[in-house]
Amino acid sequence: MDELTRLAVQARRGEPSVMASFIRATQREVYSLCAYLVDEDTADDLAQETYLRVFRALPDFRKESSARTWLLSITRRVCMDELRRRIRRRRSETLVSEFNTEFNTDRPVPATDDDQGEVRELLSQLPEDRRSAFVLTQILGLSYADAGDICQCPAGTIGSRVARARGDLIQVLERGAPRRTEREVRRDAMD
Amino acid sequence: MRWTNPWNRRAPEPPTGQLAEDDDCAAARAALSAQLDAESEPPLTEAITEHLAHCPYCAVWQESAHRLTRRIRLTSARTLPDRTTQLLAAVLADQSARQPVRPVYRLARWGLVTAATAQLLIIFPALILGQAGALVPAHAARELGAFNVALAVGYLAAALRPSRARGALLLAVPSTALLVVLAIVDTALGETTLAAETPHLVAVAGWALLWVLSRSPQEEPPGPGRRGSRMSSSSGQGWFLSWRPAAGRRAG
Repeated sequence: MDELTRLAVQARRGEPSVMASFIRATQREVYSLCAYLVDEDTADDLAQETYLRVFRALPDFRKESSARTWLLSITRRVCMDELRRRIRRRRSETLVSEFNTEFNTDRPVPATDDDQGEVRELLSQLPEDRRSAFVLTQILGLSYADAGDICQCPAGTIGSRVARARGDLIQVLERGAPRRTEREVRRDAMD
Repeated sequence: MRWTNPWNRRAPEPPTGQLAEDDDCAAARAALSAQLDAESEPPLTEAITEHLAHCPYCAVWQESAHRLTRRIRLTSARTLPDRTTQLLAAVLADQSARQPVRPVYRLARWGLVTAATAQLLIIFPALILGQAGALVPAHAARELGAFNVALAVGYLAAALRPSRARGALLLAVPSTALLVVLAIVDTALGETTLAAETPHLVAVAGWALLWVLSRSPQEEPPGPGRRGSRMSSSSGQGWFLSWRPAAGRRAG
């Protein structure tokens, strides 16, 4: 059992100092994933929502699984919920006034005051499944198998999503916009 | 220069751009990508190696992918502030806010309201009219009523604020225990009948509900926050309200 999993098992007893150690050991990765999958402005709130859910679910945590992938899959679910909420909100706004859709951009333009901001901006152009696969493996450094556990898909699927994400990013970097062939669009629909 | 893919049996489509790919390119790039991540899936098969040796687009892609991967890995991780204190405080507040919602405690509270109502209805004739059976003098009946109203008030108080359950239990345990013992003894002596004693079941139910409620977790805040904050508050009641922020401060 790794150190983090041991901490998670101990934290089940509700001892605040152990809970604090668990949070301290994991908060940066959780925040990072939220910032890359959604955006930086909401990352603090999403990280907090993640920990609320984590400690509600902790009694059901099995020590046979890895605490890191367990925690990150909850984080990803929180982010997905937020993205879905945004889409719903945008849709209802569209109903109120179709005119507005013209001006509703996909996401607020993130501040690019640093290196990480630039990368985040770049990744925000990827479709959601590729972004998850890419961030988990390239930024958090997880294996394809662990990322597959988190995204609930086989490791091979993570591999192909990472490869396509790389292709997209190369195109963005080299031309300024992702170009997708019709065949690629069809293949994504079947994914 | 137009490049045609000799491994593609179909008539080759013209690539839409320098980096456009067909199915062979896709397989090759997936394998290259996995190789960059030191993953073995999908494997670099012979067919793919051969494709890579001949496809200029994939060669360019490979170079770009190398650059991209290096750039991402060299991205300086920004130092983030430690938010453990706020996060822990939020988690603890969430947990204690959720606890009373647990159905068993909510049920116990409503049960106590019901028991108090039943108790008041049963005791009404004795308290107001002084009627508690043919042999009981009116004043004794009213005194009996007063005592039973006190029990009902105890139930209601605990139902409204579960932290009072333990105090109400102090009153309910001896009185209910005596009621039960006396009911058995007097039935045996022929002074009363079990049927006549059934209203005391309300008291037994009230006692059981108080006991359940007195065990609700918000009565006992976990962890080291408790002792310190109790010392820091001058009144005995303040500690319950102040333990949460204190626990957060200590942990941070």
